[in-house]
Parts: sequence; C-alpha cells; structure tokens
Amino acid sequence: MIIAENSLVSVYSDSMAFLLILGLTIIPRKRDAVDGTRERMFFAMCLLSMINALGSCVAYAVHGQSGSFFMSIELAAKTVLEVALLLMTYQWLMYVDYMLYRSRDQLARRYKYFFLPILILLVLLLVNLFTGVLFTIQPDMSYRSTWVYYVLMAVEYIYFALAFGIIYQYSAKHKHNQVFRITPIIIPVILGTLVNILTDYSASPLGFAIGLVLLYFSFIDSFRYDDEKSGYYNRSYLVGLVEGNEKGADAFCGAICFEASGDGAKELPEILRSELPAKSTIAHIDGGRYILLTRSRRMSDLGFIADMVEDAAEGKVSISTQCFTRGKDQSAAAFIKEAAGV
Amino acid sequence: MLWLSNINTGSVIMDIAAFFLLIGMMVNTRLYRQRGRIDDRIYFYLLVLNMVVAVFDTAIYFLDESPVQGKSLMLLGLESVFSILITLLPLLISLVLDYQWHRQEDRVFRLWKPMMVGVVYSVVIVVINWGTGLLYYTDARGVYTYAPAYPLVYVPTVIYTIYSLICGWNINKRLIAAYLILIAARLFLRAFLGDMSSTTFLYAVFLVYLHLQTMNEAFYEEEAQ
Repeated sequence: MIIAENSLVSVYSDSMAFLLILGLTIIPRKRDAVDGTRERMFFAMCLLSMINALGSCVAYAVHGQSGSFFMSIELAAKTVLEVALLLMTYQWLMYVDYMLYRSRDQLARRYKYFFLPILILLVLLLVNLFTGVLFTIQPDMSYRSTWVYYVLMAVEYIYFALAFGIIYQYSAKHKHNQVFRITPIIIPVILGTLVNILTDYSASPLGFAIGLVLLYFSFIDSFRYDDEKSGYYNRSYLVGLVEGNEKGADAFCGAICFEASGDGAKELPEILRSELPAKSTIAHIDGGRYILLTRSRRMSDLGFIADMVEDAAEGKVSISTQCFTRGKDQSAAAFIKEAAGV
Repeated sequence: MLWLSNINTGSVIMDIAAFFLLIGMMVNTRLYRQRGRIDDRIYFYLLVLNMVVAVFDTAIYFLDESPVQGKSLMLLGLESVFSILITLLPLLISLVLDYQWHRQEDRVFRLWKPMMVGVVYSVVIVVINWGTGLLYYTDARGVYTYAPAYPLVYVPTVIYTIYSLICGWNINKRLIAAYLILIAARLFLRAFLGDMSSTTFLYAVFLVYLHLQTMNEAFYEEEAQ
C-alpha cells in the first residue's frame, strides 16, 4: 500500500494531533478533586478529538487505494471522524456553559433540545454507510457530498459559534477574571479548518488538538487566581494585589468581609451572587470568609451593602460582616492586607 | 501550496502549528514566570528558542524549492544557524530537568558552562562545513543535499538527551516514557512517512508534557506548603 504524498501530509498531521492529545490525557496532573464534572467533560472532549484524529489519519492513509475493501475502510473511518466531530462540538458547547455557570441543572435544562439535531445527524451518519445520504466515495476515489452534509457542517459551526457567543456574553456581563483566554484557542481551530477547506490537506484535527492544549493551559494559569468552588477570585489574587503582581489595587478604597460558618459557608457565595452587582470584585479568603473590594470609601455605602446581604441571608445562613475603609495615607497594598488578613 | 512540494508543505504546516502552540503556551504560563524560579525562566527561553527554530525551519523549506536568486548562500546561512540553535534545545531541557531533580539553582549555574561544549562543537563543525561541505551542500542544480557525515550534527543532541533521560528517571518515569515515545515517533515517521519536518513540533509537544508533568506538580506542592 503506497500512500500518496498529499495524503502523507495529512497522515503526518493527524498523527501529531493524536500524540499531542494522548499526552494531555495520560500525563498525571493535579486531580480535579473539587469539580469532577469539569474534568470528565474535558476528558470526553480529548477522547473525541483523538478519535477524530485517528479516523482522519486512517481515511487519508487508505485514500486513493483501489479496491472495495479500502473504499469501505475509508468510508467507515470518515464516518467515525464525523461522529466524533459532531459530538465534540456539542460537548464543547456544554463545557463552556458549565465552566461559566457551574450548574448541571442548567445544562440539563438548556441543552436537552440541542441534542435533538445531533441525534438526527448521528442516525443519518450511520444510515450513510449504506445509503450515501451524506457523502459517498466514488469509483474514481473522490468524495461526493450531498446537501445534507452541508447541514451537518452548519450545525457544527453554529454550535461552535454559540459557545463563543456565550463566552462573550458572560465576559461582557461579569468583571470576574475571564475563565477562558479565547484567542489562543480559536485561532488554531480556525486556521486548521481553513487549511482543510482550502487545500487537500487535513489540519483541523491538529487545530483542535492545539486548541484543547491551550484551553487546558489557560485554566492551569487561571488556577492561580480562581476559586474553584465559588467561581470568585481566591486568596492568591489578593496576595497578587498586595505584592503588586496584579494591577488595579489602587482603585480599591473600601472592603467588606463576610464570614459564614459551618454549612453556611457553602451557601454564602450564592447569596453574594444574588445580592451584589455582577461586576463586583469578590475574593474567597479562606473557609467561610469572603471579601468584597469597592471603590467607595464611604462607611454609609459599605454599611448599606452589608445590611443588604445580611437581610438576604436572614433565616438561611448566619453571617457576620466587617467594613473597612482605606486611610488617606494608606497604600492600597497595606489596606488590602489589613482588610483581608493576607 | 505555492511552489512547495507536498513534503515541504507538510513541514511548513507542522512548523506553523508548533509556532502557534508555543505562543499559546507562552501566554498561558505568564504567572509561572512571575514565580521567578530558574526552571520557569529556562522554560520561557525554551519556548522562545523553539519558536525561533520553527521560523528558521519554515524559511529553509520555503527557500528550498523557490526560484529566488542566491538561494544557495541563503540556505547555507539558514541551515548553519538552525544547526546551532537546534543543539541549544536539548541543552536547555537537560538544565530544566537537572533543576527539577536536584532543586539547586547554584548547580544549574555551575553546569551550564561545561555543557556549552556541545554548542561549541556544533559551531565548529558548521564552520568546517562552509569550506568542505562535510554536513550539507547545494549541488550543481541548486538542490540542497545532506552529506553522509550529516549525523555528526546530532552528537551533542544525543549526549544532552541521555543526560535528560537520566534526570527524568529520577524525577518521574512517566516523563521518560513520554520522551521516549516522542523520539520513537520521530524515528518511525521519518522511516516510514518520509522526510517531513516534525522536530520543532515534537519539541513543542515535549514542552507541553514537561509543564504538565513536572512544573505544574511543583506549583501545587508549593501552594500546599
């Protein structure tokens, strides 16, 4: 079996994509003890990406070989890669939503209907093996796609774009440190897809693989400042403000510390989320202690906010609040250090 | 693509992919650089160096079949620089792994000078090549050709790699497994799938593994302390 040179490029590229994702899945890293859902969803995307790369690799390896045996293998491989890609775009959409809102109920509520087109297309992909309703491999070894195949592609692109729309909407609404660095992820995916569309070479599995690696790297980096449980900043962010590694400390002139004990510590983040503006700068110090940093230094403003939160918590959670204002000659770093106790 | 053969196009695609992967890693390891440890600094230099190597490799493949006048001299220059830079990559990897094993910054500062012997060796043989064509040359038709002695370029790389494997063995055996898988993949792909370049991409993949395996672990150990 001799592989044509242009197919060789694709086989090479898909093999590299497979190797890259393989490392991501088998190299041990800090286990996500807090959020197994996120870990499982990310692992599912990696697995689907590997299947996509493998299917593409096999399809290109046998492409152009004469004989019905090789044509059958090519058809099967292409079906496998399309199934993997379809499921990956759906998984990506749900992953983005979960990363931002951390609610499995919301996932079940919002996305059960989004699965319907996926299910129909999955059935069509299986039916395609026998009927050619999506694509066929002609006797001259070329692909022929029907209009239904473009519907499949449109669904994939729409789901992908929808995910980025959710990220953009969330970022515009919340001041909280961005969960994803979008650009490093989206550029390789788009470039890989463009190379696929414009040339005879396969590069989209490689683009997806690079995007997944950078996605993982982006939240390794943000681990430093993200509190996994609450979704707010963590203690390291406050330390970063105090030590000058993070900008923006000078803007803060007031602070309110909220403290809940026992089971109340789990409910406090939700109460804060419901009562305080979406763009508030809130950090989890430790245990049941959270701190809100404000631009206002007026004790009346801080007292108002503290009362509002205490009223919302009444009957549910026992919390205590303490307000701080920055002295006129006090540096931002010293103020945050005093208020948060870091 | 353009005037490039399929093999050269594939090489360019791999180099561009490596470049984007490295840029993304550089952006996303910013906070580790603020930690200021020597392995974080060397890791940053590795990312930058690998990107530079990818650019040179891309330029070589673009020039190889181009109709540009004077390309022989340009190719010789580019390949010379590439041969020296590609020796620095395994050197820096071995220094990072040495620190991961011994956790002594002084040791790294003491080690790097004697270890530069490999780089000096690369410079010497490259200079010798200019006059003799010992390693590579362009023939009468302007085709870039490797001489039988070209494997001499790999001598420092082999020595640095052996030292890295020894360090890795004492740090984490999975990292060694990953390193060996990548070396095997490189040899397999070269033997069975042609002369397509994958060196820069595979180095980039190893840097991904390295960060996930050793630097990421160390980061969380520090936080736990």
